[in-house]
Amino acid sequence: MADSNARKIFLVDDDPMHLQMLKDHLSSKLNVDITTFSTGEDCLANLDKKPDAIILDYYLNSVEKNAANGIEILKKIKATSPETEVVMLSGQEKIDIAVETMASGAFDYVIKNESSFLRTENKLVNVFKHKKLEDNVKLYKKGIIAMAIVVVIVIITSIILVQTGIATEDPSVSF
Amino acid sequence: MSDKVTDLTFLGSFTGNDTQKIKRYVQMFLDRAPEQVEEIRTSLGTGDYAQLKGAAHSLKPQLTYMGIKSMEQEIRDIEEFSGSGSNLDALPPLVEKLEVTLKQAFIELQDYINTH
Repeated sequence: MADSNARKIFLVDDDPMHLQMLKDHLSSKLNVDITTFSTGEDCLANLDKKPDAIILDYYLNSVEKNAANGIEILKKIKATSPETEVVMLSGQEKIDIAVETMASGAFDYVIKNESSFLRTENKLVNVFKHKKLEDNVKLYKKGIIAMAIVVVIVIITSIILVQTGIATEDPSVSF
Repeated sequence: MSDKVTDLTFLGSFTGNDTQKIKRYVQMFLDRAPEQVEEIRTSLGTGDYAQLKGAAHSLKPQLTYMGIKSMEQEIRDIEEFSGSGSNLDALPPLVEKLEVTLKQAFIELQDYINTH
């Protein structure tokens, strides 16, 4: 069961059985809040919900013949929401398709077969680790900037105090 | 020796032998696969190889999950030949073999649902 700390995940596939199996598997293994879509267009319309990751099928037009394919959707996702990581799924075992998806901004690529559920789970764990590292780096940068500001303020305050002679008015340090 | 063309071992392992979940996935397959087989047959008849390739591609992982191992190479060949435009003469017997096997598979899977 997903809680408030759950990572938000979109699954996009026009194969209802694979979609349901993947949803069942991931929700039983990871703390994730899953939303499913049967077309890439529906996924794009919901990007304002800021998913952490999207599992996106390569072929999305077996039911809706005019639906955009996975690569088109991938490019639009990365253009609109570059911080959202996308793992592509496909029944294609050809290396050129994997290369094409990675070159288009995918985080990783999984071939649809019996092991694809476990592999997708592992890829998501990698996505979460990657995002946590990015979050930590951002946090450290903010901390360093905040510390630098405090140091500057302390130095400036000390200089002002010395120059105005307020420091010497303290009875405990007067002669 | 069994003459069955389906093998639900993978689904059993995937679901932890949860019969209700297995039945749910099998029913999803039965709801969609016959239409996909029909689409394969129709697109072969009209020479629409792009549609044939798409339908075969879509059906391929489902055959794996239903343990229809005897058709794994055939469905790959149908997808490959229709996509590349090579070996088009091999497509009619491949599609016919797929239809015959899946007709048997649908009976077996419906029987599973009825008896579990």
